[in-house]
Amino acid sequence: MKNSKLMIVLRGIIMENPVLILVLGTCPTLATTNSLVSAFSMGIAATLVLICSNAVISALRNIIPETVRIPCYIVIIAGFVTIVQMLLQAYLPDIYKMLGAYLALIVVNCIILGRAEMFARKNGVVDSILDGVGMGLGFLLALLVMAFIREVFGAGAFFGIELGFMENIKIPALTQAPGGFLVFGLVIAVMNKLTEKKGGVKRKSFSCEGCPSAHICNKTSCSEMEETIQDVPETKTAEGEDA
Amino acid sequence: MKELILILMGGVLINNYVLQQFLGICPFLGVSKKLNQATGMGIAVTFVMICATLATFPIYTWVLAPLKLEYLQTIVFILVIAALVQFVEIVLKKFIPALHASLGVYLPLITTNCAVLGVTINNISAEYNFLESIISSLGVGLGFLLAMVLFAGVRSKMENIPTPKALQGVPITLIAASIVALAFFGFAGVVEGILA
Amino acid sequence: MTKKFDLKPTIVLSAICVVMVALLAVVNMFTAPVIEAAQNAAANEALLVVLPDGKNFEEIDLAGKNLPSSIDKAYKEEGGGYVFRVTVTGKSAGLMIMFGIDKNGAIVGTKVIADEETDTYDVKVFPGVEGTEGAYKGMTLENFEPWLVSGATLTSKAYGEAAKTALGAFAVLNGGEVDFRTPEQILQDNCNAALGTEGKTFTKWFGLTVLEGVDKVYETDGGRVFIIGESFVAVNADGEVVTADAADADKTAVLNATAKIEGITFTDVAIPAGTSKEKAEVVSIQKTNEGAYVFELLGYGYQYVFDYGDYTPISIKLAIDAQGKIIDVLTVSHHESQGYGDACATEEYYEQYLGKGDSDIVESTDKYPHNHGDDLIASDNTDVGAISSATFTTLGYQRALKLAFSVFEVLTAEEGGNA
Repeated sequence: MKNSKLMIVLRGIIMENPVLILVLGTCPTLATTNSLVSAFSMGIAATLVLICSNAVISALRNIIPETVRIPCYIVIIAGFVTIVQMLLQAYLPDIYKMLGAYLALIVVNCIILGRAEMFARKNGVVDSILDGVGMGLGFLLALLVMAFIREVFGAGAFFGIELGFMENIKIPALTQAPGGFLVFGLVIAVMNKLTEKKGGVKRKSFSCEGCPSAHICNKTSCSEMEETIQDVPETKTAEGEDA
Repeated sequence: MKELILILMGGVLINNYVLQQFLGICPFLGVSKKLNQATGMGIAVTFVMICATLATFPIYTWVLAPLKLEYLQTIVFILVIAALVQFVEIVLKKFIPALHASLGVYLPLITTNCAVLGVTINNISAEYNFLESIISSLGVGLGFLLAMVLFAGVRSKMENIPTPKALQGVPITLIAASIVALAFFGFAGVVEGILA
Repeated sequence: MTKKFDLKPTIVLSAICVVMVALLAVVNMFTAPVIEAAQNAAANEALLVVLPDGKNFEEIDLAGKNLPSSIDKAYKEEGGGYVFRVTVTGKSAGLMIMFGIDKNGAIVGTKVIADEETDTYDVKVFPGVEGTEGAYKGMTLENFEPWLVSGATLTSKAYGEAAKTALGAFAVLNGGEVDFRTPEQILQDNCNAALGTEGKTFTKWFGLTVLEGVDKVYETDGGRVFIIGESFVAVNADGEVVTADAADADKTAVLNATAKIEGITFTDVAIPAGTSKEKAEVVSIQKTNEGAYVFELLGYGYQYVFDYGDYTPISIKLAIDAQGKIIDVLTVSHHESQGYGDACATEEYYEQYLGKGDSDIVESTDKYPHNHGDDLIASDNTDVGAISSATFTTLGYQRALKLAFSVFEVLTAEEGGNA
């Protein structure tokens, strides 16, 4: 029993790491990993929201009707995000400023809605909290790995402390947008290589696996959607409707 | 007028949400395999962004701000966007079925698209007026469309390239995105330079 | 789809919304005061630098307060002190400076928050004035004295002007009346008032002859203004005195002066052969009907850029009367270094030459240095025409004037021979 609880936590951190294995939450992963401080703050903030929302959603799982569950989840998550926002703005204004709009955008972080949809609504409160802890720490870990590479090799610093020996060999582009994509791609490639031989680890692709919108699409993967789209007869483009 | 052009071009090129600000990455990576899909998604996002701004800006300016309820911004905006997307889908289905057939499949995906929520929040924090907000949303949407279309082109070229096993799938896609982002890097300062 | 509408989803969703909003409201009650305090503290931080004792700063609406446009922000604090943000133009794009003034109208501290000046000047000026122990500490509008730094005249002057503007603004906000005009603007305004015009720009008349009973002459396209002591008397283009309250004696003097100015005619004089000189040049010579000579000269000054300098031409206009005394001198154009040789284009500089003759100007025997060097600044002298810290300019100027005198001697000797 105890073992299985531990497994819930460990699964999120390693085997089903939301970022590195399931490729979810890519936006904050890329946007906040240009420095270790912002990556750490984002990881902690998202973990807190995830634990709270998982707990509440799991507690209310028998009350929330199936038909409106997604709006309910969104309200609950947005509420906790706002609380975290307010607390940060009040007590850690520098971090609040640094994360900017990305803090509010935790609301649409697929990991949080995804865990609500896939785990919390089917499991008990304790398990859901543990799942939140595991997934949150997995997210934090992935962010720190990315941020470590980008800050040390891009800015020549570690948690904002200048590293003298990196002065002449740092690659500033790594802290910028192109570096984010590049480092993320390489980190996932390394994870691919490491997990290649082990069975039981899920194959990574941009699937509906964990995609919170999956139920709305009524598809099991985005590739199915592709087929649907190809069946759609060519229609006039919609530019006219934009204006 | 010059400010409006700057805001528009800033959204399209310099502060491109996908390639410089990392917003809307999921659809960028997920739905950019085919050009027609990418175009459809881009147009749908642009459309929803403008609708979302038309809805959220008045709510913030004339309801939340006067009542000192700014802290409800996140919760209200995400609900408004979710409801709006549903509403748009119903309206399209009923009145413009042809358009629904081509855009409808993308709409549900947009509810949790962080670029849409991001643009509404950024319009408020940048203190744009109503017109500027709409122009900014249009620019951001067009920037998203541009990134999607460009990247679909890149990915179609990548399909038949032999790739090391570890790089197949997500990693090589991200590395390609990195190179496209590098190209957009060069736009910084260009628009101001042209208009100055 | 059944026709019966299920209310439960709506009720649950609404209930969750209400509960979450209530929760947010509670959290907001605790965090809102903290956030507000933090934001106020951040906004006040900049103000506290220049006015450390200030409490509860409040921004003042400047509309209708009759303050110069260079003051773009003003804050008042509880105890009656003020902080002003002043934008002034120094050498290039400008400075933005905060001034803290206590309730007694004395400057407490200053801080530059944006500047486009060259770093060299910043280093010379800012350490001396910045903070709460700077040169302007304790100065009031009554005992105000600009703190000028040699070698960064314009920047330090701009700083001083900003300080004076801030003090003036303090006085105005406390019910006083302050003249924010610079001496140059006052002169122009007085000239316009005398001539009955508005917004015209007056330039100093280049003295071609000595005028009796008149101190200075300024001219514009519609007439001339004569300064006699404290009074300004204007003569329009038709030769009529337009200043109604002018004294009769002054009227006569200005009419005589006008007639004398109008009566001057020129004849071109060839440059005598064999009068050339290294690093100085006579461009043209004219002789007036009164026997005075007007020279256009080219001297060579020096422009110091970063760590390298080069000779640069100074174009000089010089009038010498028949007795060999200087009537007027004017720097027509120059490229001298800001804060150093550019002093050669000021009225103070011209004035020291007036009435001087050949023997009064001692050409420095210093050799022209051929490259940049610190030694040139060390050899300051106090002769007529010397500019402190600008040996090159001084040398170039004096050399050109000496050349003019030697040419003048050749010309007058020729006349004597002919007569």
